[in-house]
Amino acid sequence: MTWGKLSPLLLFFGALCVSTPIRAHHSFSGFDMQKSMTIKGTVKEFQWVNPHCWIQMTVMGASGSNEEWSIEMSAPSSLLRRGWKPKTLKPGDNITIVMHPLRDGQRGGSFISGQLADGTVLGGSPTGDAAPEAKPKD
Amino acid sequence: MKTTCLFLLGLTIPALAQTASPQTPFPATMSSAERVKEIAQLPDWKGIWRTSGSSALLEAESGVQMFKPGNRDHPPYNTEWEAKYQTNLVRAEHQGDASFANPLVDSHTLYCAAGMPRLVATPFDYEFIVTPEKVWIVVEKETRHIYTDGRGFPPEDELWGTLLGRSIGHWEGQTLVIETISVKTGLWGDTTPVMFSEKARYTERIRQTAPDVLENQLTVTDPVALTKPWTFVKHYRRMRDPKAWVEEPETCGGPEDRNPIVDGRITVKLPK
Repeated sequence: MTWGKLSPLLLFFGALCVSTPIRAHHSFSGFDMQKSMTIKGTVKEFQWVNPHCWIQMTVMGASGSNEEWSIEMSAPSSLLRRGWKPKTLKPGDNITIVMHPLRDGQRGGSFISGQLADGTVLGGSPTGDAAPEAKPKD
Repeated sequence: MKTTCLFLLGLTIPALAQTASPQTPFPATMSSAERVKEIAQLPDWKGIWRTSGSSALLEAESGVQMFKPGNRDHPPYNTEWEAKYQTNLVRAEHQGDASFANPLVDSHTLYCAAGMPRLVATPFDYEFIVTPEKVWIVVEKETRHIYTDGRGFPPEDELWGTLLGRSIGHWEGQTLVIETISVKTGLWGDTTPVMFSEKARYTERIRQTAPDVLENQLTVTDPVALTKPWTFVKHYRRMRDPKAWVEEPETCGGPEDRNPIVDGRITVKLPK
């Protein structure tokens, strides 16, 4: 799927992100909201839990070894409103994620957007960022 | 008409009849027909409502900037409270920063409850249960109890600061006017650390401005913190799906909460 074909989807999710209030009981100040970072890997576990959902990802590190990354999302009910389901992600899914990284450099981030291998674009940033930043780097 | 109200009517009257003494009938003696007629005078606010726009208190309803402290107007504080507010803006921005000396963690995180006045504009599901004597505003796991039976506030020596304070109300036509006092100080009014003193009074005027739109005009008066009353408007929009479910409230503090507060800071728990 080309980027042009994805644009309506991105606009859709982007609009959702802007117009829908965000459900979160805590600050995201542990993340650097001025930076965005893209990682590619496979889903290890999709934690659909209260208060916030998490994507555990396996990512190939610079040294060639696997690293585990933790991506924080918003509440299940919030994601549900944005079209997510408890089984939207399955272990083994290839995924590209754009996130705000943790300030302290640990392997974690706050979800901005994602894209599955089949081109499906996923919005639902807990901090209200729009999805277009999800364009993967070729 | 008023399915919710009639449902409550059916529940409450038999229960009250068992406990009220013959000398003090409560509610006042009234036939069922009169009761139904009284309920029919009230607006029909059934369904699930959601805040229109952001959960910031002000009318900046774009929904995007809520996590950026200070990125909006703020109350007309006096000099002392303005200074405190400016300090807290910085402390709030660093509530997850391990290198910052004196962070300020959001009260919503600490209590796992919004409290007042934040409950006026949360991103959660709202339900308005309207009866002649009382209105319940249910916001998932937090419930406001608004007495419209003509009572006044409790005496001063029976008041202490609480998350939701004490609320009484009355109807001006189809507008519900709510007065709330005795709200605990130190609560964040929204995702920036807007705060008020325990002497603050919150006056809300809630009315239906369109078939699926409620308007809430809130005025905060606070002789301790503000130089003049602060008024703003928030809106709620009714979900069109009559079979929509109220979602599970966002809980916190359980074993699945990966953002524990450690040493006065919000942290992120990563796998070992």
